[in-house]
Amino acid sequence: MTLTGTLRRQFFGGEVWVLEPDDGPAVQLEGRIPAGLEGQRVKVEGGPAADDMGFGLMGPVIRVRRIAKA
Amino acid sequence: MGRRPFFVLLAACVGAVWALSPRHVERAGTSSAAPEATSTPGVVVFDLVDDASDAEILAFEQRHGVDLVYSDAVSVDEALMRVEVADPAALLERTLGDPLVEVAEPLVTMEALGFPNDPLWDKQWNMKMIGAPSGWRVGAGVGVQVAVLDTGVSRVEDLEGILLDDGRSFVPGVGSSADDHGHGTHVAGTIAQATNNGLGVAGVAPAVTIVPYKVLSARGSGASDRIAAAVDHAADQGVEVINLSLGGLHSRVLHKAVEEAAERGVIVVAAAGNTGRKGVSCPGHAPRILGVSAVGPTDEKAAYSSWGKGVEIAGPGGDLKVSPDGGVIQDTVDGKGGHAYRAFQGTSMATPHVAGAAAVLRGMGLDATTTTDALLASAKDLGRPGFDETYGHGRLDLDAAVDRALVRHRGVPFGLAGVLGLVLASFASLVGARRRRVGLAAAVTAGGLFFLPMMPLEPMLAIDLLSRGLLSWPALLVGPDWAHFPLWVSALPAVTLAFVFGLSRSLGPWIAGVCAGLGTALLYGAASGAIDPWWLGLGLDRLWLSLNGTACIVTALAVLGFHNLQDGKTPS
Repeated sequence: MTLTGTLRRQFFGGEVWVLEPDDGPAVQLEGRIPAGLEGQRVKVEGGPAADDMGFGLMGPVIRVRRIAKA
Repeated sequence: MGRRPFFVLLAACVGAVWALSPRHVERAGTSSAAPEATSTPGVVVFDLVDDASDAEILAFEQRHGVDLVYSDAVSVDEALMRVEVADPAALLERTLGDPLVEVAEPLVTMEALGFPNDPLWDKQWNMKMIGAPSGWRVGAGVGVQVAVLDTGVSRVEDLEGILLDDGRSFVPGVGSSADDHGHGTHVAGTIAQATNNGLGVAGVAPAVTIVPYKVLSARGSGASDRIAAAVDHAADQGVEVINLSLGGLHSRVLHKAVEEAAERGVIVVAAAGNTGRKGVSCPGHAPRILGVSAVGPTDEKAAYSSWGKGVEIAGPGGDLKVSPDGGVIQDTVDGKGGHAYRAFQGTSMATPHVAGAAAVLRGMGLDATTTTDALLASAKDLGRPGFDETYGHGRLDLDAAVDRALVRHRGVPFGLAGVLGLVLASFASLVGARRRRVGLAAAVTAGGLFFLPMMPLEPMLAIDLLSRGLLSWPALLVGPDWAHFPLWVSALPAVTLAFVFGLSRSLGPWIAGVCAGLGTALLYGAASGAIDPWWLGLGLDRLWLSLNGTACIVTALAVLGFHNLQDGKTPS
């Protein structure tokens, strides 16, 4: 799956990376996220994470395979 | 019956009434004790008669030239009011004997008493918001096990002395339930941080046993099927409360696990979510469990908090956008091998307040259904009047919930006193010269030393035990349900005591009194339904209690009769 949107970093008892897509609700991102992309429009390639629950509680968790500036 | 036995019976009945009266819960600002405590000059607190009308209160104000205000929103029903005046002593003297006044005293604050002495207590707006001190005065969840399913729990500085089980890890490749992230230890701290220990911060229910289940990895995520397995395991282990400060998309497996745990009498509490939108995370949306939304320090829904179907109650989750001091501070691991007092926000933080409050009520001997009902019915209504999908039944108010739990037993003292009076009267002639010892032992056994919680003593297990009737001791020492263990709520303890100690000339009268007290409590339990023995249903429970209560009283009679025969006396 490929998503495009704005990358946000939230803090709810721990760091939570969130992608706010151009359309649709936010998703949580899991994996290596370069801190420099915070606040940028990014394109994310990935799929549903096997670890589908967490404390972030900000939406479905997507395991990131590739992330880059859009 | 002569005069003296009559007065002994009367005293025993009065003692029983007091002994079983709802225990006084001190509210901040209204301590009834500690005359040596520091008073705040200028403020007088009045506890007026509960059914005082507005007109009567107005007349009182005119009589004494004062303008009273309610101490807080929840004190309206109890007519608890305060006024600031230039000369408090003169006002207290003027109002002495006024029929509208039940109690009047200078304002004494909990802070002035130095309780709790945790140095960061001033920053814990969240604990004050829910009235956490009321929970500490009724046992603080003693004997209750709370499972924390999270990133694990580590024994940081301010969890020293707290009962912490070894727990179990459900994360592949991780062998222990220690916290390698920080979220879980923070959550556990809200439930049970060591309180009044001169360190750090306080928790809601510091007497509970925390059972940590590591279900989230160091990254803060975990698989729903493994979390479901941990829920099953915790329920199998007999925990009374499960805290789930986690969630995700709908999982049928996890949904089923929490529903089954709730069906088995476990109170399951779960976070609503942090999306700020409508839609509650799984498992917080499951019907039988308590989904928790979050409020900030201004008692309004935090912007991040999810809402919608499944939210049953709101708790203080913090809001760092409203104020830099608006987070929930607890002690947790710092990721560098040490610990730190961190201010977090989130529905993850709101949830353990509710879990801790549930543990407090379970520790008081309430069952799961009654506990849930008390929490929801006493919640402070916020937002749209009545139930709504933002705050559910309202924001958690432990102070009011404890009051509600105590009031539930308001009818007990009169019923029990009546039964005790009948019991003692039935063998008054056998009691003879031993009336004081028998009456005292019976009243104390039935209801405990009623006055202890009213004294300026720090909460401790011994005081909590001594202030309760003997039959409820297992609830504190072993777990809430053990006060209903059939062999305990039987004649076995009384008969055993009678055989072992009852023949002693010095101990005999005391043992007879204890047997009479146990019998009284069992008979009252049968009549009121307050005791619910395990395994027995369909009326067998009441039959069991009645027969065993009667057997206790026959045992008391036998002990007294034995000693009368030894004395060469015969019953008149």
